[in-house]
Amino acid sequence: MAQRPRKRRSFRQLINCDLELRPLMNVFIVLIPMLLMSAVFMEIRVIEMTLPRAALAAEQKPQQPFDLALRIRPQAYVIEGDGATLAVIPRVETLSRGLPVAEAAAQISNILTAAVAAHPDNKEIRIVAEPGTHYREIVAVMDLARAAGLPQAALEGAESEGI
Amino acid sequence: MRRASQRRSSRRRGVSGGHGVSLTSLMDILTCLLFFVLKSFVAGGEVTVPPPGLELPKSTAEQAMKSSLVIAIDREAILVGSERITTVREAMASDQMLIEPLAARLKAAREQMHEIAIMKGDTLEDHVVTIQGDEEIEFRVLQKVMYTLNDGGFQDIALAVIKKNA
Repeated sequence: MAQRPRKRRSFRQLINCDLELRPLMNVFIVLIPMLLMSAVFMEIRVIEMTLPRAALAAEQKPQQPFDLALRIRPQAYVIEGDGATLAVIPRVETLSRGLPVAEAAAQISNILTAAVAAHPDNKEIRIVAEPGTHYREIVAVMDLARAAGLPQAALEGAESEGI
Repeated sequence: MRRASQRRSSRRRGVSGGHGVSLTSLMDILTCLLFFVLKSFVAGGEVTVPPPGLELPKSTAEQAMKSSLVIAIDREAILVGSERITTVREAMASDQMLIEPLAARLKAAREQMHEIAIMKGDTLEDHVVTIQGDEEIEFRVLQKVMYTLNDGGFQDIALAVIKKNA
């Protein structure tokens, strides 16, 4: 007889312990699709460059420790160091979807790494592109130069001086 | 006997024993998802979306994008922000390296930045311009845009790319 009231109390507790989660669920269901719709899943990064000032460009250019240049010619990638040709890598046959294929990329990378090892003070490279060179190829070449230890790339046109 | 009578009495009173859907596990999933989405927003830094139809080149660059003036070059037009300035064909038709409509728009943007800097009490520093170029554009277009930027006093340029997973 003494146990009965205790059992009733526990029965009431069972009823009260249910949390009402539906309003919170509704908030979440609205909030999550809204956030997912506005989310950007592509990670955008940047390659920073500094253009020469117009006044400075007209004057004397500052002397680099080693003038390294990579020319993207119609037939070949030409790597030059202080005006002398270091390597000529065939371009057209190795071009896949506008990008240098693995062998050409490896060759460019090896030559640039060797140039960096020979001149550790130099962190700059001039990329001299033809007017018809695609932007993605320029970015790919800049990536190879950065991987070889040349983070400062300057873009130059093959025909005009300056940029 | 006692349990049976309890079940019967609870049924009579309309107490829900197991007919309600358990939402606790679903709530756990949704909470995790919400935190994940919010974290990706916080860690994402400057969020920018290239104009529709513009495919950025892929690169191994790691530098995050900063807040800046954005110039987009797609296969047809040159845009500043979302404003269409000129077409690529028009820009290429001219023999001049300077793209006149872009130069005028950049001048206006620079004056606006200068006014904001004065109001904030800052000195006018070199402003960064981000170029969002389509991977298919030719270097001659980029060269003209960069020449115009240099002429307008924008020396610091950031080329926007999509991060390539190595």
